[in-house]
Amino acid sequence: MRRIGVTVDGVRYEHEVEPRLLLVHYLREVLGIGGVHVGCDTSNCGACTVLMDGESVKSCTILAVQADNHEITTVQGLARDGEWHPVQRAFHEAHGLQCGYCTPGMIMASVSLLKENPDPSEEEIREGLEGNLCRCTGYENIVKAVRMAAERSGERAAAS
Amino acid sequence: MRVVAPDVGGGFGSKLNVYAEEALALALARRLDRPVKWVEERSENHLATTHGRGQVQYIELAATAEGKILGMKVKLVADMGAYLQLLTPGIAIFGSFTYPGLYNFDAYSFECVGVFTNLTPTDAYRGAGRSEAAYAHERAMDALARELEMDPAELRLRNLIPPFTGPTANPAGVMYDSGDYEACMRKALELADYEGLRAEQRRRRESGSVRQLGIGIGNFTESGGLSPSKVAAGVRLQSGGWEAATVRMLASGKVEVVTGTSPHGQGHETAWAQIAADSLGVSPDDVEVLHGDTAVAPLGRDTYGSRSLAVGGVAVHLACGKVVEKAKKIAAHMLEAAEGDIEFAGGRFSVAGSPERGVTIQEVATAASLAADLPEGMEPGLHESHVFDPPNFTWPYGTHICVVEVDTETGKVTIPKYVAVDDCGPVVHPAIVEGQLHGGITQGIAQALYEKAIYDESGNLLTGTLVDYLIPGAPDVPSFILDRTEVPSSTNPMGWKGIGESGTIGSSPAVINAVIDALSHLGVRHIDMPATPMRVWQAIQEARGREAGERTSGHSAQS
Repeated sequence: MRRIGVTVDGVRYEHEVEPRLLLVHYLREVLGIGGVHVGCDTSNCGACTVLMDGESVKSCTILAVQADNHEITTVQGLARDGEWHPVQRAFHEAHGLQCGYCTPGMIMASVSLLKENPDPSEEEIREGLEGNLCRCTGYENIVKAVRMAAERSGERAAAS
Repeated sequence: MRVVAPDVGGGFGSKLNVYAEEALALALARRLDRPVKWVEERSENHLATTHGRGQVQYIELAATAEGKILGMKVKLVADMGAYLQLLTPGIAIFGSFTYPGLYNFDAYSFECVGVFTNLTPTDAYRGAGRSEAAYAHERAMDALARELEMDPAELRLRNLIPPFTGPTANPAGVMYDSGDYEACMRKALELADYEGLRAEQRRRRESGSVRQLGIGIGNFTESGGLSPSKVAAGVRLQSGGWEAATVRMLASGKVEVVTGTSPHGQGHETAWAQIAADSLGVSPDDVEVLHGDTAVAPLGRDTYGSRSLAVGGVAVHLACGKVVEKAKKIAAHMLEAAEGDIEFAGGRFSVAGSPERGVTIQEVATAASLAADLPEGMEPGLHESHVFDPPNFTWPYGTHICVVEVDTETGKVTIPKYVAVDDCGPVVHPAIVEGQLHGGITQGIAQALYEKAIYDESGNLLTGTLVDYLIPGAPDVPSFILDRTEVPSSTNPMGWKGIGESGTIGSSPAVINAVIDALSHLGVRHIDMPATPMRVWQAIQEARGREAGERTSGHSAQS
C-alpha cells in the first residue's frame, strides 16, 4: 500500500492505495465520483477522461499513485458557483449528447482542447476529440457544441 | 420483481434481451440472501450479448430493357448464432416486408434459411432486418442500372410507388401507410447537386485522377412503430405491441406523465413533455415525465423498433385527450354552462360567446382534487390512462445520397458530402430528430466502412475489444446535410412515424453504392462490407487484373 495525497475537484484527499490501482477506480470506487465513466477497459473510448493539472488524461491509463500530489478535475468539478462550465452549457444547448455515457469524457477532452486551441476549426475539433468515442450523436452536435463554446469565449475575450 | 433502469446508456438493440447473467444474479441473490451486483465488461458485451446482421443475401431482379422492374426474388441464409435469443429468427422475417423498398412491381418471392453456427447469437441491431433489406435492394438497383447503362437515379425514379395517403399494399403484401417518394428523392438529388456531381465524376474519370468520385443512393423505408399486437401474435412474438401512458394533473396544476417507453438517449422526457404541454395547454416546464422504474411505470412494452413516439407518444397524446374531456365536464359545472357550450384553447376553458367567462385547466385540476363541488357522481381527480395498440406499422422513408472519394492507390474511402432527406411525418422536436439521424447515419457508415465481427477458424471472436473492433471517431465521419418532407402517417391520429433507425437503414447501401460507383469504370462490381482500404484496393487490383487478362486473351485469339 502506498499513501497518496490528491486534490480532486478542489478537495484534498489522502488515502492508502494499492500501487496497481488505476486512477479511474480510485475516483469511482474510493471517492465515489460516478461522473467518471468506464467504457471500454482498453483505453480506447475516453469516457474516463479527466484533467490532471489542467491537461486531459484517460484516467484508466494512469495509476492512482501517479496522481500523488497532482490536481485532478472531473466533470463534477467543472461548474462554478452553481453555474455550468461554458462547455457543459454548449453541450446542453447544441444537443451534443444523447445517452450521456461518453459525455463526461467528451466534455473534459473538449475543455482541454479549447485550452490548447481556443478557436479550433471543425477539422481541428474532430482531430482533437479522436480519442473519445460516441455511439449516439455521430459527433455532429459535439463538434457544434465545441464551436459554440469557442465562439462564446471568443466573444467574452473580445468584450473584456 | 422491480426493475429500475434509468439512464442506462445507448442500447441499439442489444439491451432488448434478457441475458442469462441477469437471471443468475437474481438466483444468486436469493440463494445468498444478499444483494448481488453483476457488471458486464466491454469484452463480455462484445462476446456474449448479441450481434447484428450476419446474412448471405441473394437477390434477383427481373426488368424490362426500359428499366421497369417486373419482379424480385430474395433468398437469405441468416446466421442465428449458437442460440436463439429474443428475436433472433424474427429479424430476417421482419425484413422480408421491406425488400421491395419504395418500388412498385408485381412479383415478389422471399425465402430464408436460418442456420445455427458456433458464433455469438444475432438479434435486433438498429435497423434490424430492414437495414439488410435496404442494402440488398439498393445494391441490386445499382447493378441493374449498370446492366441497362442507365443512370441509377433515373432507374429508381421510374420505379417508385406513386404518391398515396392511406394504407396501400406493397409488393410484399404489407400495407404502407402513406408516402410521396418522388418528392423526397427529388429533394435529395437537388440538395446533393446530383447533376453537378456526375459532371465532376466524368471529369475525374477522363483525367484519370487518383481520387475517383462515387455517388451512391440509398432509398429505403423502415417499418417503425412496432407493432400492431395482431401482427406480433402472427409471428408468435408472445408480446403485445401496445404502449401505455398515464397523465396526472396534480392539485398544484403541475402534470405528471407516466410512460411505458424506456428512453436511453432518445429524449422522451423532452418530447413527451412537449406533447402533454401541447395537448393540455400548459408549459412544458410544468410537466414531469416518469419512466424507467416498474414501481412507477408498471405498464409498457419499452423502447425499440422506432416505436416510442409512434406508439408511446400517441398514447400520451390520447391520455391527455381524456384528461381534457373530463376537465371540460368539470369546467362546465364550474362555469354553470352546458358542456356543449364549453370551448378549450390555450389551456383555458371558456363559454362559447362569452370568452371572459373561463377557467384554466390548472384551476380545474385543483377543483378536481379538492372535490368539494364536482358534477354529480364524478370521481375526484384529473388523471387518465390510455393504452394505444396501433392498427398498422408506420413507414418512415427517405433518400440518402453519399458522395465518396476513393484513393485508387491506397483504397482509402472518404466522404466529402452526405445528404439525407427523410420523412418521419410531423416532427415534435427537430433537434432530436436530427440527432437520431446523425447517430444513425454514422452507425450505418461504420457498418459500411469500418466495423466487423471477426472470428478465427474455431469460432473465437477476435474483435472482442474496442482495440480490434473499429468504432469510428470524430475524424472518420463527415458532417451531414439533412432535410425533410412531411407526409403524415395514416396509422395514428398525429401522423407520427418515428426516426430511430432511418439513418442506419439508408446509409450503408448509399455508402457502398458510392464506393462501387467510384470504381465501376475500372470494372469493380462488388465489395463486401466493411469496405476497408485493403478490400477496396484488392477489388481495384482484381478488376485491373481481369481487364489485363481479357486484353491478353483477346490478343491470343486474334493471333
